[in-house]
Amino acid sequence: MNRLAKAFEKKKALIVFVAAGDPNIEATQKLVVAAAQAGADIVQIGVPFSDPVASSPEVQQADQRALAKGCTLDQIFDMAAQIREKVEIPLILKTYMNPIFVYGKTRFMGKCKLSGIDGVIVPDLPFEEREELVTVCTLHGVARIPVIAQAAMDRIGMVAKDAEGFIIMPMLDAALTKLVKAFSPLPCVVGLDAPTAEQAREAVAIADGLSIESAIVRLVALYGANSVGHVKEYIEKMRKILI
Amino acid sequence: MSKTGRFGEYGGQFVPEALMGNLHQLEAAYLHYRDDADFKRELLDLMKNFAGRPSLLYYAKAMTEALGGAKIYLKREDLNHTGSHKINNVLGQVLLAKKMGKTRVIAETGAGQHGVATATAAALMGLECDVFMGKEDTRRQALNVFRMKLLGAGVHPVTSGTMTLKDAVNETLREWVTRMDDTHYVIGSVVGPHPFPMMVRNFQKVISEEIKSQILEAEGRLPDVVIACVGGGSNAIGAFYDFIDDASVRLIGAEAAGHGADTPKNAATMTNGVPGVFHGMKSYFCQDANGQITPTHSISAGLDYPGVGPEHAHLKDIDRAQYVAVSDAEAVEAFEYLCHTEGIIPALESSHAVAYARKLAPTMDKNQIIVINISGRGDKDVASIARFKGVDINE
Repeated sequence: MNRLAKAFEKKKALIVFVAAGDPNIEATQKLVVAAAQAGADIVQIGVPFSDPVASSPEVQQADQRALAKGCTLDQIFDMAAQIREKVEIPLILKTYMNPIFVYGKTRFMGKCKLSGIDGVIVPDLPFEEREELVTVCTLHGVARIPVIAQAAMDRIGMVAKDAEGFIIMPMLDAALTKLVKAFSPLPCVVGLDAPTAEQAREAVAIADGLSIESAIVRLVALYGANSVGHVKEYIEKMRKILI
Repeated sequence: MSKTGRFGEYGGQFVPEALMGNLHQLEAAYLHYRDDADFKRELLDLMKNFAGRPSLLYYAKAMTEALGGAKIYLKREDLNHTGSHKINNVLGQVLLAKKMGKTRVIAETGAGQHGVATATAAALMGLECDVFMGKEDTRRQALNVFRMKLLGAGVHPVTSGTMTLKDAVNETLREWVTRMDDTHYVIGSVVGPHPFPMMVRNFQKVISEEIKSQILEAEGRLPDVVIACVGGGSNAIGAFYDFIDDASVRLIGAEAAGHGADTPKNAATMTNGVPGVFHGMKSYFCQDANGQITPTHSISAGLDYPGVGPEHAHLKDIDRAQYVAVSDAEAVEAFEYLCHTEGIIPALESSHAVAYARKLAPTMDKNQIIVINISGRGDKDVASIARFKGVDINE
């Protein structure tokens, strides 16, 4: 069984998003390891981009800080390889299409495989453009994880059937979850920026897991390099809520 | 592989899933109304009686004689209502939005010409209008901000990133995702995801269709060269499109070199950029080795954009059009030159095209013809020129 499927075995999965390179790449490495130790089942590592049009303002600002520090894809792959030596949980890269395209699609996915990255989330690659990545992702065993929003109701079947790994729905919507699950046997998780305890419980009541998209980024913005303890505490707290 | 909305390998629809439904709806509506007799009649009526088309093709006798080479004609898009070619696209898109039952339009703007045109069309057709403009540009073009407000539009300064046109596009895309049901995004150039580059080009191609019939009437032959400035590229594709199949007509796009194409402060996408994926399209972009979009500079807000329309990227790759870089200083000089020589105040954007024509014309024969697309009027740029020259005009 691959790492992604295993993450959903026997429990509701807790997924957290960490913006790479904020406040610096060393701190990101510590944060990801700490997140795994604290009970995160999957970590999304955000590749900073100059113009993240589909990201929250918190993530935009984190990306700006990371880029100002000179964060690059090579640093992120090196970091992932080092993290992979310490943790078993799946690691996902969330990146816009341009960094992949400019790095080279084959080179990018090859590096993912080498450094133990299990999947990618590409917010600006819709179903119609999936051919850009299908072949290279398959070749290197990197899952293409989609985000399905309510606005795309008529597209749900098409996108869900094409998904790999798991599916993220960026809202608490029982009907949507049910619909997605009707089309795909894959785990479905609810993605929320910074859920309350109640929202977290509701998310795992209707779905297979919860993806926390901005809460860690906010803690890092607040505490910088000293955020590891706070992040650990936060994840432990959320983990207890989900069980 | 799906080749929807591609120009060679460029174009496509690189946007979040959540926008795709809207893009399909827009494409279907456009393809329907494009051939609808009522829509065509209404648009033609607006172009003629509201925008003032056809715009003149003017023989620039003094400029021709002063340069001593090719005969120079100016396509006077500056004479359109609202002062630029932007009105052509905006009337088409706002009329389409209205037919689609939308009650609100949003737009990005750089220099403010597209924002003013959109606010104008929205006022005319009774739609709500919100314009997003980089904070830096609201300062450079304060008069246009006030103009848009007079026309009833909301103007939202954008403070993210470099606070210019690229960031205004980012914010308008974000706004669209949050409110798609009643809102149409009037993209101002031949950029963004399909169907925008194709649709905007079709609304702008009237420029080259008019040039062709006007020059045939005046000279009995096609021009040798058509020159237009290129930011996103809508006035250029409009001026080129009907000549693409006429191999004898050289098509030249003048982009902004800012302080110089070899300095960090430029917006010369074709000269310095490499292929990438941004703002919904695959095209050329000014970016670093890691695929981060780099800040651009041009004295002209309308050319201060790190990308270019995918059809231009394709025309460059197949060598059908040529793209040259013109600096701030050369553009300002050409601006003043046209003021003195012909009594026409061109937009700073269009001045880039004038600047290259000044270099090219003397190298050509007297029986050859250059058409320069004067995409807009320069009244909005008078304060910028004064600032560039260090003149205090008490604005």
